[in-house]
Amino acid sequence: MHRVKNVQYNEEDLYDDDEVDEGQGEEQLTQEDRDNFANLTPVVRAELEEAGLQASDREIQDALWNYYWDVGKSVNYLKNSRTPRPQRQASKKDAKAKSKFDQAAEKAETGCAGEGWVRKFSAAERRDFAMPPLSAAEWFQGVPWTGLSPSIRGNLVPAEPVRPRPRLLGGSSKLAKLAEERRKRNAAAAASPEVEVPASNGALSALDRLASIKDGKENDKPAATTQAEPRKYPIRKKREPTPPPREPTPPPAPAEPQEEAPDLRASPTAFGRTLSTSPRQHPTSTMHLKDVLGASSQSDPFNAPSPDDVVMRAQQHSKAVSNTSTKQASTKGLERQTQALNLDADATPQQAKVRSKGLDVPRLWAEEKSKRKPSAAFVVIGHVDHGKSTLMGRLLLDTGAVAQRDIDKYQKAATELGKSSFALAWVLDTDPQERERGVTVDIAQHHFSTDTADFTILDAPGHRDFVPNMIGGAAMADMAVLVVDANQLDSGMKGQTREHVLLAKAVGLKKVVVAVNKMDDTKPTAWREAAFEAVRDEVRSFLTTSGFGEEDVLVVPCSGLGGENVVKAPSSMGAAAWVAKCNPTLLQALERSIPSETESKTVTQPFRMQIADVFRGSIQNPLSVAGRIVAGHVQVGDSILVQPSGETAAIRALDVIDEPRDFAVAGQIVTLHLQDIEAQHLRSGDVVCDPKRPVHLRKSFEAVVEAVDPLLPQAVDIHIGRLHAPGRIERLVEVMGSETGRKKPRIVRQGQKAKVKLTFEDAASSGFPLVDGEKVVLRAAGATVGYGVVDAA
Amino acid sequence: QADRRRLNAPPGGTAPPAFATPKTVKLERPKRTRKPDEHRKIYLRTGIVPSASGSAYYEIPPQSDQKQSGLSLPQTSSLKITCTVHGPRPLPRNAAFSPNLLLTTHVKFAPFATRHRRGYVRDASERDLAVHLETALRGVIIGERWPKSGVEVVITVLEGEEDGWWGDAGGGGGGGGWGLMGVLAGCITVASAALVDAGIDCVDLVSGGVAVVVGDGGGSGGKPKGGEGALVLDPSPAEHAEMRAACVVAYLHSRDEITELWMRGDAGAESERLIDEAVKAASLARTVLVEAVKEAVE
Repeated sequence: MHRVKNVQYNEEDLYDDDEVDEGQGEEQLTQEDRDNFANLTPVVRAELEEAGLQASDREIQDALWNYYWDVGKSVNYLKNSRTPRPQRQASKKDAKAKSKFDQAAEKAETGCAGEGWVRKFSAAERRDFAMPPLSAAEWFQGVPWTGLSPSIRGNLVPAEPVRPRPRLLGGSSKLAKLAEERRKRNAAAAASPEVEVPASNGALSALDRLASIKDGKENDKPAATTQAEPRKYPIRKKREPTPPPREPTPPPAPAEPQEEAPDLRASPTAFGRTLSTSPRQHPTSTMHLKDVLGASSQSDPFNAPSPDDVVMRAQQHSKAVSNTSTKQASTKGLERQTQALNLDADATPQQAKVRSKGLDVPRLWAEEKSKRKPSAAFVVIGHVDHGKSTLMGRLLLDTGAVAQRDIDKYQKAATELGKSSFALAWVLDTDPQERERGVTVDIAQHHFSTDTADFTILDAPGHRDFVPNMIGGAAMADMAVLVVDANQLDSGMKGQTREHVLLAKAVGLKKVVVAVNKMDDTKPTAWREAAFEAVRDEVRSFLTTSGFGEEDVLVVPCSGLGGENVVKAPSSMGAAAWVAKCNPTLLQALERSIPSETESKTVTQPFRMQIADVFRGSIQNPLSVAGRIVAGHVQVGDSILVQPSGETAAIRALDVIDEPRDFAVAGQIVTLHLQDIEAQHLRSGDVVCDPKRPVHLRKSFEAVVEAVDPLLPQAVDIHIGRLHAPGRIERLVEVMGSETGRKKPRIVRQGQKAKVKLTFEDAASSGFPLVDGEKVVLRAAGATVGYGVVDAA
Repeated sequence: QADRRRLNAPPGGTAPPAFATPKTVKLERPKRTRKPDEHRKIYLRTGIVPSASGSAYYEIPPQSDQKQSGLSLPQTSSLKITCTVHGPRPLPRNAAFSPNLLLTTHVKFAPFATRHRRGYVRDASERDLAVHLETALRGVIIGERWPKSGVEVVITVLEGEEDGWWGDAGGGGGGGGWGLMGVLAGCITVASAALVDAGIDCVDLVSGGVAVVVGDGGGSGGKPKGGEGALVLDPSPAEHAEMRAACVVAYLHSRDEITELWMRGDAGAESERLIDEAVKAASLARTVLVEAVKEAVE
């Protein structure tokens, strides 16, 4: 028993603590203590009686002793120990704080009067417990696992590690050959004579076990020989025949141990047997918990198919039924389906293959037609610094495709660079280099949609050095937006405006919307109608001479920086009031000039798509390609062929306008997420096609071209969409045209149409994928010299 | 502060199960039924762990007194030991050069191996056993054949010998460490089998044996000679109320050499006889060891 230690020690106390033991404390009380007891006991009693409580002398003295003669504390303690109420409160508090384990322990403790209860029982006392004798099965009766239904009861089976078969490295070496031979020989030897010795009784035969291990762990030789090998050291072999060291040992040995030998070997316990038995050999001799502790019948729960299997089978069944019921019409769909089923049969489990849904895409496409908004991709062309990117940034901002917040962010960053007017252009110019230089370098792609149509912007670079990129972008577009600076038309006409218009024509764009930009900056006053009209007339006449139809050209005045007449018409007051009267906004003009939709004929053609971009999309889609589908259709799960690398890949997913879709058709700009292919086989300019009807590779081809500059047999850069490769005009076949038509001309003059034979210069490659009717652009020395179509690939 | 490497017990702890004994059953100290110089039967098998280069399992099955007592708890302890040998394998790069095979031994009791629970970390007695075992094995391995390599002998005691009878006042955990002697003898034998299974060259099979001087008659056969105790082979500590001295030896039978000797208690004048008895026990254990090894090679 401790005394509460809030009293300063004196020597006597320390002495007491050491010497005085519980039992004999009374006898060794000092005179002082006795006096204290005599004085204080009545005081405490009186106080207790006041509270209506009784206490014996002994209790009071104990309390006093405990609290070092502190009457108040002793009385308090005694009161507490008498009145039940506060105690209960305390226990309630405890219950909150204590864990269940503590409670259990406490309960047990109170049951055993707070002593070390296990220790307290002597062997004799234990016998006093009245309890019937129990067998193990009875003892564990209430435990759930004895009442389990046999179907859900598991077995304890030692897991057997699966070990890889190590082989010698370096297949071509002599050693490897020798090892191979030896292995074959061993295998042959093992196959013929070896018969497994069946285990005769419950105790295991080591031979059996060794034989089974031989199958599992294996070098090039059978296990038995490997194990024996290290013992066959030459030193030992020498030693073996010499008898002397062996001689002295035998005489003492046989005396006791040999007679005892058979006795000492024990058969193992159930545990030992389980541990030292391979489950393959003695499937029945495994230990069951229930066998050890309580018997019951056993059954193998793994006989039946697993619950997962059952569910999978049912799902597969129902899917097959629905598929056949809905899509029996299309033979193609059926074909795909059977293909998919075949794939399933021998599918490698490690790679989750995306199954094709076997959709009948052309039909679905036709069905969806009424629900679909018209969509178009347009390329933005024009001379450098005429404000193409800024105008498109404005368009995106005002249609809500880009948040004002982002623009503000760009504005801030651009101001820091001292190019605050470029903020809108930064929406499309994402490359840091582009931003710093204020010039678009590569095609940027962005989507926006209005109430009536979906648009894809392809922002082409205006600078002459990046014309190849512009060709790639223009090849993906359905129409063009020509941006001209109202104040600098002449510089544009001399520069890239002219070339871009030519290229737009060359890649087969029919409709052009001309945005006369920077109307807010006309001299001498802003929004001068005369200036616009002058520009309009000049551009119109230029476009019509370039081969665009009068009705295919729309001219719109606007201001990209200010945003007037881009999405919203300017107010009817002010300098720009005249605009609203007869001119549509840029957006209206775009909506008006959306070309008619892809015909169903192109949708049913074999699949063709030129890769515009190869990129790493995300972790789920490690490899993606983007481009415009030229012909045919594609759906998730299709396998595709990439030319010229000749590699196949599977489409795990595809996106149209940044949204996942099941299929895509000709005319759409898509992103295909591929699998089963390496990035090295994909380059922009490659063609993705149907593996059954692939695009053929050509090293040379004929094309009908229109000469922009005089053409001779010469070196040219051949641009076919995104693909550009060095080549040469091999031969001028003939000049077309009724009166000037002539075979084997020496020169094709400016403006003439001619059939020429073109060859790719790159000797190393096996050729380039070409399709009849593809648009080809020829450039030489940084300028376009001709354009036309592939005639006979 | 909290130990995050292991699954910790719930805070507060649980009460260990206390097995109440039926009133009708009379608890009696188990009697040694075999002769003083008789060894308990042993089950020994090699090659139980396929992933180790060598392994063995050693077991002294429980003596069948369970039915007589009517208890679900065995009165005497039995012994279950597994041993795995890893190696010989190259020493780590940063280790110093060693011309011999470096031998490392680990002995660990499973937490449930004895009535007195063991922790997950090896305690002093386990480390002590490992040192004794290392001494015993070092003498047999021909280490010069594997320079720059190491071998690890890992022993897990799944069920260990108790230090006394659980019916005794102290609950059987009365200390004295008599149970450890029997465990060490088993460890030596099983490690030897595992070494052979691993194909490590040894000069001989080493086997462990234990003998004690007991205060009582030593079971059926032996008679106390005056005040002196009787000598008993392979004791089961539960069967003897008083044990005066014990001795473990690791014995090479064909060379008649001892690689390890561990004696505890006061054997007085009988020390030499005690050692002789332990050697005898070791030779008996060797017969089983030889059989098991032969069986594995066949």
